[in-house]
Amino acid sequence: MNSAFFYSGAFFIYLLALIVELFSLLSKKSFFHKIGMYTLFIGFLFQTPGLILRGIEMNFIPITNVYEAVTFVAWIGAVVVFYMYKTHKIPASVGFISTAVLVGFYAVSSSPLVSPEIAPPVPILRSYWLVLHISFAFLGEVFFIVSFAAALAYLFSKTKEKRARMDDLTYKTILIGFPFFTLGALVFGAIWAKFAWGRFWSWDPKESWSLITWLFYAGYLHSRYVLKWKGKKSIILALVAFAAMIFTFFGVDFLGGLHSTEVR
Amino acid sequence: MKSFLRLFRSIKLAIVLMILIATVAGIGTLIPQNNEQAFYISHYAGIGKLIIVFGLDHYSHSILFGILLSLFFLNVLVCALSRIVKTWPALFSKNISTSRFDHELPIDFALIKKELRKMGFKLRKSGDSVLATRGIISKLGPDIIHVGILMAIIGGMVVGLTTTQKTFFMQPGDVEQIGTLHIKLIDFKFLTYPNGQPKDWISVVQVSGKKTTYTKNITVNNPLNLGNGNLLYQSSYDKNWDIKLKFKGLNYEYEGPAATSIKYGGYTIYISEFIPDFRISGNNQVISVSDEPKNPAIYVEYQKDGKRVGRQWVFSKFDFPTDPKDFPIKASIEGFTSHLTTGLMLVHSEGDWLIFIALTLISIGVLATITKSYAKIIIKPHNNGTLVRVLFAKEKEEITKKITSLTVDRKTPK
Repeated sequence: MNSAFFYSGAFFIYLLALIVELFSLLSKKSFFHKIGMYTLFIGFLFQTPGLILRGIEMNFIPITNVYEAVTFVAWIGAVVVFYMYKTHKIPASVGFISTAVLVGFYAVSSSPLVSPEIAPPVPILRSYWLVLHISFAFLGEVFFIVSFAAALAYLFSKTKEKRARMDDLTYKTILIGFPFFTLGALVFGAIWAKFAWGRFWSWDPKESWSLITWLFYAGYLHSRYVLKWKGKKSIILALVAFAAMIFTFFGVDFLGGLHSTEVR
Repeated sequence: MKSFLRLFRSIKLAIVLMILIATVAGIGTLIPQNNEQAFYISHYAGIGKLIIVFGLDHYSHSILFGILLSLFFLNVLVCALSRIVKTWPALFSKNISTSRFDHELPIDFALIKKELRKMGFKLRKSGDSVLATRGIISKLGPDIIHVGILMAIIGGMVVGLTTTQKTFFMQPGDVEQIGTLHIKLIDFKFLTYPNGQPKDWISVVQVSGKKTTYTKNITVNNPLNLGNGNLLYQSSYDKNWDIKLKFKGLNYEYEGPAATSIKYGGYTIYISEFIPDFRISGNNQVISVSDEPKNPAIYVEYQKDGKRVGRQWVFSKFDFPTDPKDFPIKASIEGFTSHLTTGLMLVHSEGDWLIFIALTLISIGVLATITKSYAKIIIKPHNNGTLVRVLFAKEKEEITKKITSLTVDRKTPK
């Protein structure tokens, strides 16, 4: 068995989790939600040996190309969504949307534009600052995925109580994700850039859009904490911030720049 | 002054500035940067002029962006100072106001102290009252982040204004003078993976100063710190070719580097770059598809009195006619050798330490914000029970509920 076996198997398990979550959403039975969340966690466990094997094959942490980046997000996302289910009892709607986004990320790895080939990293990517930069940024981003799911669930919630709960969940997940994103995308990213390119910051499109994403999430937190924004206004800001994050992840590649040799 | 402070203390202004900075940076990334003005006029028609006026053709160095960052700096500075002035005295105050309490709980004072300690509170006695606090670090987190951001902006400006960059290529034995230091390249290694992909480039350099001489490796991601704000990076490499050309009809042989010109027999002979793997691209450009000498070629041009009189593509593996065909000289490639040169980049900047401190502060700040949230409680013994006041706490209700439930739990056995 090689890493591809575990990667392919994990994708089908995540897909199964998504179907179960959809079923849970439609049937409104919490039992299916529980099965869906545990299936997602099993997907995480199944992908783990794949990740280790791929790492051994390439002799580095497998986060150095698009294929590895999107599957890494799904892997880390699966455990974060499961953690949120266990600690914050996220409802089926949030579980379904989060899983759908993670499956979407994973599906990108099957795109004909993305090569699943195992290749050792080019010299510039052989840095443990890069590993910290990517893994912390991704950890923050998966919390933002859950916050997006909660924000979307808010818009579809019919009762005031449910809306208040989704609003609170959006806030809490951003509150957890923001420090990780700050450390990963900005702090460790800047340090790696200094060692790799000689400059902390080059206003490269990926850097600029990471900053834009950070500014939106910082704005969201300040509006909550200081201006006491709650409800729809706050939710819209969270959705705009998430759109910036997705553009930073995928869209910026079309703008070129230094990060064109990097993971995404 | 007051209205100035009021304006820059506004969190609404901060959000507006964040949106404006994000907008300008976002638009800037969508527009090709640092081109000639004519490029923007021809590619963007009417909008082209706006791009130039607002400096979006070089947004990160534009006046508009500079103004927005300066306003943001002032905003963060005033907000941070206001926050510090407002919260720190209460945070570190040793005075305990016991004029008002929220709860009178029928529980032993010593027992409640024990429970507060269990909840992570630190207790400090003042008279007959006790001040319980926890999570001061968490309360300081945002202030540390704000100071870090201010330092990052100042550091960014210093670095931006003082950074210079220079790339040079060296072969083993070459010496470069950097300030008072002599940098001699001892060796250059090009490491590859088993599949031939590059793994690393290593320049072994000997640094000789007035007092010391030492040898160090410079690799990608591991620059050499030369002191005085100078860092030497492994930035690239190049493959140079020496060639041996025989000119039939001139009875002359050239041996030396490609891309040169020579004078012989009344001709000026221009020799192009050596092309190791010749190919004509889709848009009719001559390219080398690899660094390996699979189809070596070189272009030679003959001039007399400044005018071209003949030319020839010279291939190593096959014969190709001269232009004109009856031109009396014909060149042939008799040999070629390659040697690698290392590309080293010298970066000088003054404010790196400021940025490192700023990044450290931001890291400490964000880590502080995820520690246990700040809470401050005053307790005082009263008639076999305890008076409680929860002064600050994000989870004021939660903490109050916990203490109240403790009361019920403890009281029951009694």
